[in-house]
Amino acid sequence: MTMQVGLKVWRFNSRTGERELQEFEIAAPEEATLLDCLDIVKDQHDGTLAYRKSCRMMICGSCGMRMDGAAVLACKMRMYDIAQAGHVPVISAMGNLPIVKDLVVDMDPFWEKFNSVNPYLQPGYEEPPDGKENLITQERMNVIHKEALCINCGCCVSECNAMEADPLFTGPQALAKAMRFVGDPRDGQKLARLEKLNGEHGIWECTRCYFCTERCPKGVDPRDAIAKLGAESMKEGIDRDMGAKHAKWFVTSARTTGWLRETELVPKTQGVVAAIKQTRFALDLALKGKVPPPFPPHVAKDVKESRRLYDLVRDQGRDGYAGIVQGERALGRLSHGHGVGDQTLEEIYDRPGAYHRPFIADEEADA
Amino acid sequence: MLDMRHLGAERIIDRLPGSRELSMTFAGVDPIYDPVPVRPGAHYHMGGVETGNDGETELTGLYAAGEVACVSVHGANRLGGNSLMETITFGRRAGRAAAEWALANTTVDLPESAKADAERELKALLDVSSGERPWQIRNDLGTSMLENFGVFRREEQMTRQVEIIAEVRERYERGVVVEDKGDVFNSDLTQAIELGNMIDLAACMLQAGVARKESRGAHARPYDYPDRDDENFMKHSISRWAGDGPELSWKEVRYTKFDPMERKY
Ligand code: SF4
Ligand code: SF4
Ligand code: FES
Repeated sequence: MTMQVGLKVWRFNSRTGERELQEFEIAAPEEATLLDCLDIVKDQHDGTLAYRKSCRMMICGSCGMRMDGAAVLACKMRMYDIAQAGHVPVISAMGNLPIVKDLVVDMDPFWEKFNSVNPYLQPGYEEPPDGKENLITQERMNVIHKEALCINCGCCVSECNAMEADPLFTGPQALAKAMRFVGDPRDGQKLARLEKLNGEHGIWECTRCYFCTERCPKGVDPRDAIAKLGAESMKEGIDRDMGAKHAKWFVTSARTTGWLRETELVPKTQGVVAAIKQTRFALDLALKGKVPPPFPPHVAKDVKESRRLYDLVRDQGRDGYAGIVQGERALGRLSHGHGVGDQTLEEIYDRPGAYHRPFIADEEADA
Repeated sequence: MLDMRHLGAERIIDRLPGSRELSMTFAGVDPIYDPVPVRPGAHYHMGGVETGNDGETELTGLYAAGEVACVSVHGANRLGGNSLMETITFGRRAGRAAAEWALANTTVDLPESAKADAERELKALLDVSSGERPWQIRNDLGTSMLENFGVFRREEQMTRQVEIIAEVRERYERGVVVEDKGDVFNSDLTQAIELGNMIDLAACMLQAGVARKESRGAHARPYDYPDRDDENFMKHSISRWAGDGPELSWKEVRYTKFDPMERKY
């Protein structure tokens, strides 16, 4: 069965600087992805269209691009529903990277940042007891399960707000990759890595907009990785950055009074001089009723709750990234229309219209 | 249909998240609940440019690594993870050796005529203004190779495919139209060049396939030679391009720690 698919593609030529929105109407098989559609366009309609592709199965990371302004992997994007709805999506190159031609961006800045986090296991770990194999439990690898799934497609970088403001920001992909090594029990350079990540253009530049997490086609969740890096840095006593101080003050504030004392936030994180500069802003906020007056500090009724939480985290040794890791099953959580559900196998096979339960060799016949 | 339901939701999510993602995205089927439709497909190219342990090839200064290369560690079987050996172990070795070679040999004497030849060929390809677009030929090549040189191979199908390749080559050599004449990321041009290479490669594979009268690894001839024949074919097939067609020769298998044995599962 075929379907009609409409596409509007932003064409661009970096040599001439020409730019044009070109519309295509093609016939494609119903199961076609965006990449299949672009292949049809290139083969049968306009051979000059440029885009990257290789594996066609969401593993090489070549085909990142934007559809209606949001980064997608072209080979993962099924077009049926879109075509059926009569929508004609706009396809353009990824953001935050220079365009070479049409949908192809220059990935050099991406790879530079990738390399800047030293994405290789650094020796320094203990030698294996038998001198041969270094066995690491699944549990310890679960910590970096999501981060290890990254396919370097750049979709997160394309959408990153902090990078738009500071093109030198290390960025979600490289930071997720950094976490992949910081959390790896075999890596011997954790502290040096964290030191560097706390420097200029490092983890604290992230605005926490969550666009990277939203857009990552592999469930890597870079924002989560950045949070883990922050928590681990503070656990290791690396807290000179304003961002770290800010986070620490949240904790102190919640522990002592059970709520956030905005009036003290600025002096605690930016220092007193900066705080004075911000006074005018604070007064404005106070006038508009946004901030309660500073004195006397008000203690929340349930402050004990918040203190207990604090103690619990400390007692369990779950400060640092361990407090954030939740036995990650990134791909398992990606939505595909079906929930995972908590049905038993029996319930699954009993669904109306379900296939028969397969025969399992070592199972009792009547089981 | 591939039925994985007996594994249960937890194990599927834990151990097969990638396969589940693929099934759901491309077939719209969640393997936790339903069997997944499957079919044969080309997954990995096991042969390749013959290299030594450092990625070096017959041509001085040319190094190959990854799926394009063949260090011949795993023989004719596609074992889970053998591409990792090609990329991680031999990729590293090849990269290092190639860099060392490049640092030690800063100039390569390239005859002017070779450069002129290459330029002429490119220009000829770009100058074609009427004829077939490469994709039609590429599709015919792919479909016929899957049909006649796919999972189970028959002598007569392979010989027929040799003829089909000759026709495909004729169509290609008549000239294909490259629409992109530009010099920025011109994948229309590179795809047209690759098509020519694919036709050559298909010819090499067919010649070696017909000559290998046994079944070994991914080369399965259940109808005429269902068994492995170590006496005659415990050797590598080596193809070299000789003017207008491939030339087949054989090379001894080097084994050190492990003796080759039949895969029984
Ligand atoms: S959450 Fe941070 S890293 Fe992610 S896109 Fe937003 S600013 Fe960038
Ligand atoms: S984190 Fe996700 S979006 Fe970013 S490069 Fe990796 S796979 Fe792509
Ligand atoms: S083509 Fe490889 S990820 Fe899309």
